[in-house]
Amino acid sequence: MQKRFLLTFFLSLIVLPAVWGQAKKPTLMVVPSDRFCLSEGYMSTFQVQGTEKSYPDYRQALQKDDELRLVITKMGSIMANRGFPLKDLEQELKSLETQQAEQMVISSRTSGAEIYESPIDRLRRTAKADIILDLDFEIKRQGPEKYISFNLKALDSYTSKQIAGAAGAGKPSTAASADLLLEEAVLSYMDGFNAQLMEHFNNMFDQGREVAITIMTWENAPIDFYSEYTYDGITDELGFLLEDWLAENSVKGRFTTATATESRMKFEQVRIPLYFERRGRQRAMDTRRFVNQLRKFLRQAPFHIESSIHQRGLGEAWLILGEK
Amino acid sequence: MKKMILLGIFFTLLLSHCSTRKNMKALWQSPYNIEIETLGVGHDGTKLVKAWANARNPELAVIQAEKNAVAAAIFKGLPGGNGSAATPAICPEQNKLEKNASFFEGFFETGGKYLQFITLTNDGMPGGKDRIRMSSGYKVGVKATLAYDNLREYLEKEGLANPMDQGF
Repeated sequence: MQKRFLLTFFLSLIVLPAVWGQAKKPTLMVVPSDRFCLSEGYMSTFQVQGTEKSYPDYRQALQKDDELRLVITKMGSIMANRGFPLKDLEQELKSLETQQAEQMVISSRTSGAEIYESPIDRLRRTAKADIILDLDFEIKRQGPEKYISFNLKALDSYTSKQIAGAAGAGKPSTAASADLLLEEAVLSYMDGFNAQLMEHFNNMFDQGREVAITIMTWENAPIDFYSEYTYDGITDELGFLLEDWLAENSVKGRFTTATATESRMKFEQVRIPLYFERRGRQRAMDTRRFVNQLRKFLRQAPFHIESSIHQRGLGEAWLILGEK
Repeated sequence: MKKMILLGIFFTLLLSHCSTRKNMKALWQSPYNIEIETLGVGHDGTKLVKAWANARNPELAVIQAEKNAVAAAIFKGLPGGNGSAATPAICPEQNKLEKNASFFEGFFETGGKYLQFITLTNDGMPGGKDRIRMSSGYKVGVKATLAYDNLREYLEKEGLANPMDQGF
């Protein structure tokens, strides 16, 4: 009996690490807020279809603003200490530029072919992260005293939801430098902010990752979401059958239909499981993997619909029906 | 008859007094009844706090105040104030103390491991407003530097607090 117990124990020690996967870690990046860029004059103006439009110029902000760099560095060191090293916006912008230059000069040795890049690839070649830490601060004055007004938001890039926040004003001081006050503000707010982030992650482990899924049709697709099918003894429109699939496959059947027209269905607050099984091993799930299951479902009878997946990050994917 | 009424009133007062004393004792002995104030934040995850404690003499009250400051960081969190935001508890789960009583008894033993995470700003005995004579002893307030990040990391290693990247 004891031998069997010991054998089971040792086997479980060997097997468990192989079976258990780990959830995909979201990436975090500090981005100065639009208000900060506007008030500090870090904006670029472009002509878009005859209209003048202003956009935040992050590169300029990061190159010129010492205080912004200080805050980002301080936040970065705190987050790295908690196991979440931040993606650096400045490095990300530099890396994108280098990548673009390198891609332009690389060609195959055999035929001299260049790297293929679709227009969508080009469009998506931007600095991105799963969670954006939207940072805003201002050094204010009250008589001879200086104080910091600090506002930090963690935004889910895919659901646009605020998942953590810290805002307030620091202790006024006549003697302390602005740098010192800023450092104090970061140190003061980050513990509470991280506790909220942790709460969000715990909620995710408990109820699944919250993602957004959009299903569309190619313009030459022979079907739309009003097309009727009979599946599992139920005859209904494709849109309703897709909702049934989501209800069965999302965690606790949670999702919201945000848009439902003949050519587009948008599902928000879809709770997807964090793991899936492949070849007997648990692996981390992301929206692309989850939507791939839907793609396979639609390829089967009675639908026989071909479709293609376009990933927009860890938490958003598009499925376009009609053809690959 | 008059004697009986007076006796009744006397016993009622005595009982209510005993009950009040019992309640007050329970309140003082509760590990969650901690008087603490945040004075500021420091480098490397340190917090400057002022914690209060009651004891028979000021020396014991200082020791208890140090323990209280560490206990507040673990179970209650530190309140905001003096330009600092509130700091959440390292172990916010309900009944963490009761479930891990043996660990925390050792941790909070006088001269125990808790001292590694707290430093008094000066070694002198608190005076003035920070040393109040009470009917049953002294109430003392001490200013101390709390190594909050080190304490969190220690409790994470001991498996009593959840690291932020757990599960990833």
